[in-house]
Amino acid sequence: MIQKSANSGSIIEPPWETPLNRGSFGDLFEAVIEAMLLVDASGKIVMANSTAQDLCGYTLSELNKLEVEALIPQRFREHHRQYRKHYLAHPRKRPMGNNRSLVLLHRDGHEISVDISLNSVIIQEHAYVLLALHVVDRCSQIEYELHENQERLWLIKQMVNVGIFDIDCVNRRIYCDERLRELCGNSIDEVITLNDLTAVVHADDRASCQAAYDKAVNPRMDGEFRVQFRIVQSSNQQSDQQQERWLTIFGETQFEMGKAKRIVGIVRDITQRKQREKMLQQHRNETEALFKQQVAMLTASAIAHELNSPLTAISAYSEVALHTLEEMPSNCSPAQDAMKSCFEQAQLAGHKLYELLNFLQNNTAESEILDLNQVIEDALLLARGDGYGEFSLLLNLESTLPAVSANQFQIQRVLVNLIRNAAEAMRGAQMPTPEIRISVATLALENMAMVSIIDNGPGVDQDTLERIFKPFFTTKSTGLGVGLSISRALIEANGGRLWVDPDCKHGARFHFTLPFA
Amino acid sequence: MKKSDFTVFIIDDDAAVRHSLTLMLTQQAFTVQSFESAQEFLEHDLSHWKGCIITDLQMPGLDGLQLQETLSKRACMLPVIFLTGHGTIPQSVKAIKAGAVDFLTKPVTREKLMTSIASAFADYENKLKAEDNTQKARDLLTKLTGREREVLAFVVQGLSNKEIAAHLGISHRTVEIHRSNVMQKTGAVHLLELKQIALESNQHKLPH
Repeated sequence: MIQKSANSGSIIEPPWETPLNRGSFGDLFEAVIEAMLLVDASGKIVMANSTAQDLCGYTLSELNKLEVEALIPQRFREHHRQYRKHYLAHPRKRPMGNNRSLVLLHRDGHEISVDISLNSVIIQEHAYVLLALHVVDRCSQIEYELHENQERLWLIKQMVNVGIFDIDCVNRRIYCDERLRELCGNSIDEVITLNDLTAVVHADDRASCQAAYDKAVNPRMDGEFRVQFRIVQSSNQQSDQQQERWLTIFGETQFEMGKAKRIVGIVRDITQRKQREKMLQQHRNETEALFKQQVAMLTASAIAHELNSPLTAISAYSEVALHTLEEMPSNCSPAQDAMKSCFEQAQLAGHKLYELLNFLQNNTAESEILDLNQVIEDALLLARGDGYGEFSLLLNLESTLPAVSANQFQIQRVLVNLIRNAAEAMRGAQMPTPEIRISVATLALENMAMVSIIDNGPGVDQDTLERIFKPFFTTKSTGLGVGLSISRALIEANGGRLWVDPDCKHGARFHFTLPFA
Repeated sequence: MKKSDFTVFIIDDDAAVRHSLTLMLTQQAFTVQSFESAQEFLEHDLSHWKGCIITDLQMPGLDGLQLQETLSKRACMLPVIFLTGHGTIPQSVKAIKAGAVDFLTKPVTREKLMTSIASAFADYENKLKAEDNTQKARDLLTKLTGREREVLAFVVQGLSNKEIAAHLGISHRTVEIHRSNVMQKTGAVHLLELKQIALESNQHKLPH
């Protein structure tokens, strides 16, 4: 609270009554942006500009009645009076910002941190002290808030593990934040060109990054920038060992006058997720392989069960016949009997096999009316979902293709198998630009639809070509080698054919047909 | 091997297997008897049957391993040869552990079968001989009195006459008389022979 007692003493001639005040000094005093006070030797406030009046909440006439200590909190007043006397005895310029934060007491009682600079002036032979008050609060408040925001942003970025980029589309420059640079192996600067970034992107992913960028800056598109890619980091300077990280980018383009101006977005490290996905996929593939192996084992054991008895009998009868012929060549009737039994057993074995196959084929699937285009698209989704999606796709579908008659799941199975084979072959041969073409066509003469699956992988050599449809033939290190033989059986069960082009030097070309409904 | 005394018992659910194997073994002058199931075989009184069994592993009803188990419960000494289409390793391990002579895969050759039967018969003969010795030893021991058997039990454990006398609370001299009677009745000329007889009879632990 303001101490009225501070307002005691004689009223001196105020300087604003002087000609100087009315003239340029007064105007100048008023015009200063900082809050200004003029205090006389006794500590009385003789002048205050309007900023100062606003700052402390008093009118000029009120201030004129106050001792300057009225503007500081009670606890500092005595000390301040001492300081003032000392200062008047040894006046000097005291600039602002020497880290002595002082406190101004507002009329309503609240305290304001101010930085004060002082100087002594002599006006008409009177000594005065001129004070400039600078509110430090507002500035530091802003600085503080900025700092807070930066820290908050940093924490969030740490937590969600994102980096931030800001692309200047006009100058093709990217601002990369610290995290993004870290993700790129600290091999790039804060501001780099698009080409610099491309240099750290995995060679196989550059095309897809470019495509995503082209799409993002295309004003006719939605301006979404979204792409997943690998970057290659050198793990340390001296070794040429390289480390791959998977990043995903999500950003949005700002357009100006129909032109892409800026893309701002986030980058996230998804390496672990990718590794987990890969592991899960491997696990799933292994499980499937194991399951297939079990099926094969059961089938083989069923066949063995049917065949072993006749084979045992045939073997024993043959030895009996042989022995008879060796020991008693004159009496061949026991040998004849044994051979007759041999023949019967061989026939029986054949019959048993036939029955077994009949039994296994018994659950024939039902045919449906199918849109092949749709089946192909579903199969592609399935194959990609199974982790066989690392290829660019050329689809050549015929929207006017009549429906075919086939079992949907069987055809889907065949397609997934062929797509997987193609993707695996290309992956195995480390093709730089794996590509699969799937096309449908009408074979008018046969009244059939034909589907072709063509890859640009290593193709099929002559030796493999001859055995490729045999069960248990495989070129893969894992796998049972029943995929193609089953596929062919499934297509044939649906009334079509499945074959591979004999000239497969520039990638494999598989075709199958299905009857129109 | 006395083929004439021994019979090969074939157990298989497949008639052609039974017939062809029978022909083959008959050609080799074996006596053969065949059964279409383990149950049919077990219906007979096996105590006087001599030879070996050739059985399929997988059969409807009782399978080969179950047959082997039943035989051992009945204390039947006939050796078992298994024939199998696709026996798994755990199955064969189990069969061999349970005393199977052999584990042959179908289709089996004459040569392999002959070798297996020969070793089965040899195995069986050894078992018979051992059984015979046991019986003889038991017969000898039946002639002994209760006290004599007690003394025998201590003797084969290596106790001296003095110790035996102390254990039984009889005089040293009486032990000597019992001991001499035991030797006389069993016809053993020295201690080692006496121990052998007691071992074969499986009775040296009897009195206590």
